Amino acid sequence: MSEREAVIGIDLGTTNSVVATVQDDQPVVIPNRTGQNLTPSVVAISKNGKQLVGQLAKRQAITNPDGTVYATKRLIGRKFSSDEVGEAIKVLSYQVVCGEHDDIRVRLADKDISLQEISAKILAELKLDAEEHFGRPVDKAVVTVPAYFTDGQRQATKDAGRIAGLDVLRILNEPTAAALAYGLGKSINGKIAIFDLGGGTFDISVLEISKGVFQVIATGGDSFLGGEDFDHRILESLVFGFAKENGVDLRKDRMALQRLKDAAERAKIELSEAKTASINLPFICTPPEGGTALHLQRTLSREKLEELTADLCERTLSLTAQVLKDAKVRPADLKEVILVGGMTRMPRIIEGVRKFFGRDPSKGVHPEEVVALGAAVQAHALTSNLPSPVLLLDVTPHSLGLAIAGGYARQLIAKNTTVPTSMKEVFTTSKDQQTTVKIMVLQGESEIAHENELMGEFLLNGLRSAPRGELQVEVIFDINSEGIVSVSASDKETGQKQSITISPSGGLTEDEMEKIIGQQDDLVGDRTDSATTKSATAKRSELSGLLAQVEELFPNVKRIFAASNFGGDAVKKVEMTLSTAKKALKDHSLAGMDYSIDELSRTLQMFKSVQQRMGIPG
Amino acid sequence: MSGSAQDLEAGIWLRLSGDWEWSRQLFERALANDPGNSTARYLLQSAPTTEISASSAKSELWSRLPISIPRWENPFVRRDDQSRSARVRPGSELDIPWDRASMPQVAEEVSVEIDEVIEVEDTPPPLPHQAEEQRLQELELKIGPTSSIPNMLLNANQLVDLRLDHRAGFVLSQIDGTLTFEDLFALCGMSRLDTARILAQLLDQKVISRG
Repeated sequence: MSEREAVIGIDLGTTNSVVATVQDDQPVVIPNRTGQNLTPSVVAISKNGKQLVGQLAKRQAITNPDGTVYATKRLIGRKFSSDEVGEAIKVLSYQVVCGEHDDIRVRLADKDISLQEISAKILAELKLDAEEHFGRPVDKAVVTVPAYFTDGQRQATKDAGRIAGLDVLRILNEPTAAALAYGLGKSINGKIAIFDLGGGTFDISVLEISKGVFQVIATGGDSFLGGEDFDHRILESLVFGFAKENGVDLRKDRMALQRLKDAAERAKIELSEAKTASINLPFICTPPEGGTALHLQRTLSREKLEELTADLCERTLSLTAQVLKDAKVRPADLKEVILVGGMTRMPRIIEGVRKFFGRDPSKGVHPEEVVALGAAVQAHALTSNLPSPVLLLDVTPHSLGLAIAGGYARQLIAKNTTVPTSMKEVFTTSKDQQTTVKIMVLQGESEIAHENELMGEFLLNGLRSAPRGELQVEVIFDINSEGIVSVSASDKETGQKQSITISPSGGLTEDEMEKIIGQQDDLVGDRTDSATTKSATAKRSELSGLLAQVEELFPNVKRIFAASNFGGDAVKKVEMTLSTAKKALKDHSLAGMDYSIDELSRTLQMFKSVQQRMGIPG
Repeated sequence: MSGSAQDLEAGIWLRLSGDWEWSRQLFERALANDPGNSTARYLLQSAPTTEISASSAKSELWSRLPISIPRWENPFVRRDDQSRSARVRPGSELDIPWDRASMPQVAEEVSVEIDEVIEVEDTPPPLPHQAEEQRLQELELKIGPTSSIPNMLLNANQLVDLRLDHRAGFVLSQIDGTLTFEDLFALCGMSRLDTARILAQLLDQKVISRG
C-alpha cells in the first residue's frame, strides 16, 4: 500500500505555535526538534548575526529587543495607518515601518521585512519539524486564524504559508478547530463556547453546530490580554520586593529582566499544579557600587499569584459576558464549554469559567494543543478519499456592504454567510441633480462607515440630472468560492454600469510575493520539496566531504599527538566531533549537520595547521 | 619516559614552535636510540622542503590546539641564553651529546631558514582585533566542540558560594541541558569573546561540564 500523503495542521499563535498531524486515525502533536510541543512564535537576528526562530529567539528577546520580532499576529494583514496598528506598535520593542501600500514592515538588521516573511519563518520551522518527523517532505497544511480575522488578514496568513513552501489547503477558524479536536461535529447539535486565553490574546467565541456544519455566531475578546500579562504581574512583584530589600531596580538590567521574565513564566506554570513555587536567581545583579553579586530567592504561592492577577481573571469573564449578551446567548444555552490556551490551566480561571457557565468545561485535550489538533483533523479530512464526517463551509468572516449618505454603512451580505453568494439592493440618489455616485465597498460590523475596513471604491458617472430619490442605482455584491468579491452598480434607467473586483489582499502584491519567494533560499531556509531536498543534500554532501578529509588526516595528526603528552584531550575531542557528525548524517538532522559542518571545518583547519607546521605533506 | 620518547616529544614541540633544525636533530637522536621508532622516522621523512613562515604561526597554532598548553622550558637551551635570536645552532656547544656527522648538509641548509625566520619575527605585534580573534580561538578550543551541550555540575545551593558576577550568572541561567555552546553564544547577548571567556571560566571552575 502506498504511503499516505503527509499533511499537517498548524496553530500559528501570537506567542506560541504548534504543528500536528493525524496518525493511525488519531490527531497527535509533532514535537519540534528540541522535543517541545510548543514553538514560540518569535524570530530574531541575534547580536552575532545569527537568525533564530522559536525558543532560542524567545530566550534572548529582552537582551536583544530591537533584533527580536514577536506577536506579529496582532499586525499581519492590517493597514499601517489603522488604529489597531497604532495601538499595537506602542508596546513593541522592535521597529515597525510603513510599506509601499500602507502595509506593515519590520526593520530587522537594517532590512525591512514584511510580516508575511516573519510568519513564514515560523511556518518554515514547523514544516521542518514535520519533515523531520515524517522523514519526507511536507507541503500541505491547514492553518488556523482567529475567527475575527478579516479577508486581508486571512490572505496574509495564506501568503506566509506560500512563502514557507506550504500549500495552505484551508484557513480555519481557531474555535472551529478546537471543536473539531473534541469531535463535537459528530456528537453535538447546538451552541458551544470556546474560551481561549493564550499567551498574548483572549478570544471568546460561540459556535453553532448543526448536523456537522460549524458556524461562528459570536466572537470577541481582547487582543492585548494573555499569559504574558500574568507573567508581568509576577515580574513586577519580584522587582519591587528586590528593590525594597536591596535598593536595586532590576528593570534597568536587561539580563536580569530576561531572567526574571523566564522565571515568572516558569513559576506561573508551576503554580497551576503546585501550591507554591520557588524562584531562585543566583547572581541576578552586581550592585552599582560593585562588590559581590546579589541573589534573588523567593517563594511564590498560588494565593499570591491569584491576588496579583485577580483583575485579569475578572476581565476575561466580563468580556465573555459581553460577547454572550451581544449574541443573545445565555450561558445555560450552551451545550459545551471548551478551554483553549495554556493560561486556562490556571485553577482560578477554570473556577471562574465553571461558575460563569454553570458547568464544568471540557478538559480532555491539552488546551495548548487543541487548536493544532483540530487543524490536523481538518487537513486529514481534506486529503482523505473518505467522506468527511463534518462539513466545514467557507463563510464570510465579516459583513460586506457599502457606505451610504450620512456616513453610515449598509450591510448587504451578513457575516458567516456561506460562499459563494450573491445579493442585490437598489439605492437612490441622496442629493438633487446628483450625476455621480461613489460606491465604497466596506467590510465590518459597524453602522458607522469609517469604522469598517474600506475594501475598494469606484464611481458611477453620467447619471441623469434629477431630484434626489428619483434615480435608482442597483448594486450587486457577488462572492465566488475563492472569496473574490465583485461589486457592480448600474443605472436602472440607462443600464449604464460600473464594477470592481476585489481579491483578498494580505498587503503584498503578486510581484512582491514572487520576489520574496525567489529570495527565500537565504531567508527562510527550505521552501519547497525540491528546495528542502536540495538544501539537505548540499549539507549532507558538504559534511560528508569534510568528514572524509578529517578522517584522512586524523591518523597522521593522531600519531603526532600520541608522541606527546598534550594530545590525549585533542584526540578525544576530535573523535567526539567525528562521532557527532556521523550521527547527524545518520539521523538526517539538518541542525546537527550545520553544527558538525562548523566543528569539522575548525578541526580540519587545525589539522592542516599542525600538518603544515610539522612539515607533513598535505 | 624513555630518552627517545623524550626526544620525540621535545622534537614535536620544537617543530611546532618553528624550530625545524633542532627538532630534526632530536628526531634523529630518537631514531638513533630507538631504530624501531616509526613516529620518529615518519617525522624525519616529512622534513621541510620549503621555507616556513613561522613568526606568528606558533601562537596561531597554539590557539587552535584543543588543549591547555603547559609552560614549557626548552631543556636543551642554556638557562642564560634562552632568547630566540640567540638560540643555539647546530654545532654550537650543547648540554647533550651531538653526532655532527649524521647531518652536516641538512644543518647548513636549515640554518639559512632560521635566519629568515628570525627576521620575520621582528614584524609588529598583532593588531587588537587579531589578538581578540586569537584569544577567542584559544577559548573556543578550551570549550571544545560548540555543538556539545554543557551541563551544570553544581546545584543551586552550591552555586551561591561561588564568586561570580551577574554576567556569569546570566550565562549559567541559560544552561538547561538542552542548549549547545553555540546556542549560548547566540542568545547571551554579549560578544562571542565575552561569552567564551565566561564559559571557559565556568569550565575551569568545574561549575559546568562539557556534554
